Amino acid sequence: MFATIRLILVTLAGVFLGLASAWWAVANIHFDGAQTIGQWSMLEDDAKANPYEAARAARRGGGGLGPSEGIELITETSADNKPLQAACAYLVTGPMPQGVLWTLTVSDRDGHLPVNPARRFGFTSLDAMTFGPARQVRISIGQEVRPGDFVATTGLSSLRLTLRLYSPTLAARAPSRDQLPSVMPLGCDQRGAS
Amino acid sequence: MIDTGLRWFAATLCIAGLTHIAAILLAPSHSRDMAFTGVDFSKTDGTLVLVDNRNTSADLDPAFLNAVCRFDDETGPVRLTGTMPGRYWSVAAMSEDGRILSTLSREDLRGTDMDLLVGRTATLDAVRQSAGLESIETMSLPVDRGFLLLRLFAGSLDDRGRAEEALKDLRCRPALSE
Repeated sequence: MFATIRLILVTLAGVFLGLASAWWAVANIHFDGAQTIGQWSMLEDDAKANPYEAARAARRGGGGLGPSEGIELITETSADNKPLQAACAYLVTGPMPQGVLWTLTVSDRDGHLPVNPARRFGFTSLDAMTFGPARQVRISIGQEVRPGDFVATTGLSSLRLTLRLYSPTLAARAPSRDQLPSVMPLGCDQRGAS
Repeated sequence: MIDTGLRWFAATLCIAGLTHIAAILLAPSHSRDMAFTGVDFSKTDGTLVLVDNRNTSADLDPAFLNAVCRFDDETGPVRLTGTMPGRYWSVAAMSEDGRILSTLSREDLRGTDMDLLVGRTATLDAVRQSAGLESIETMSLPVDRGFLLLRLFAGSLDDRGRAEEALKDLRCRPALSE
């Protein structure tokens, strides 16, 4: 009787541990050594040989970029290595790869877009303001409106930034760390931040 | 006692490992939101279906106009025809579980006129011969069923207008129906 109960408990514990570790591995893109550039991690939906990438692509519902389309970079942490929070404000600042069509999208970790009447979900290389000879961007993100390029995070429970660079050559030669912007924390709304 | 405890611990780890491997390998084919399987293709009549966060859970770029066309055993290879807008666009062939199998972007096409045949490698030659399509771009795939995802840049109002115009004229039909 005791052995049967122990067998059931061991089986349940094993299944729980297996599912929990699988969930964690799929949610954590650093688990299987995804390529990172500074604080940005590269998503590779076409990596057929990697079962974790395939599971991740399925979880995202598809829609990632193929190698001749460009590359997709995401970050869920700020420059000080803390998780991005929807209740906090951030400044995406620094250079963007030159001569490439890029789009920066603000969403939650499940890909849901913010709710705002202007339907402003991010910026692109064609509408973002740039500064200085290096054409650096300064895009604010948060719940309180800020001057300049701004994306409201209204309605989001978590925060993810997706930078898509549309160029077939980038799959072979990804941009370097100093060609990509950083996400600097600007402060948190104390009511919403945990 | 210690030996017995270690044995049970090892058994737990083995079951956890097997469950982990099974969950990872089965996830792509058993995903709840497989690519565009929830999109209604019944009233398309050769046009592509616009997809966004209202009718798909796919993680698409909102700065683009995204549209899909389905191909399966019933349609056979499909032919995408039309005129592409000047700004950035791309076409991706995806399997049903959302994995990208092949892509074509503006840089791969000379001019703006699109005439693309998409389907399983084995069937493409037969279709080309029977339909008399000798000089046509092809996208040769290892699957019979999947989706063509078209992305047209629509980052500004002008771009959106151009993308919508182009999308109206694009056709995605079974290659053998023409």
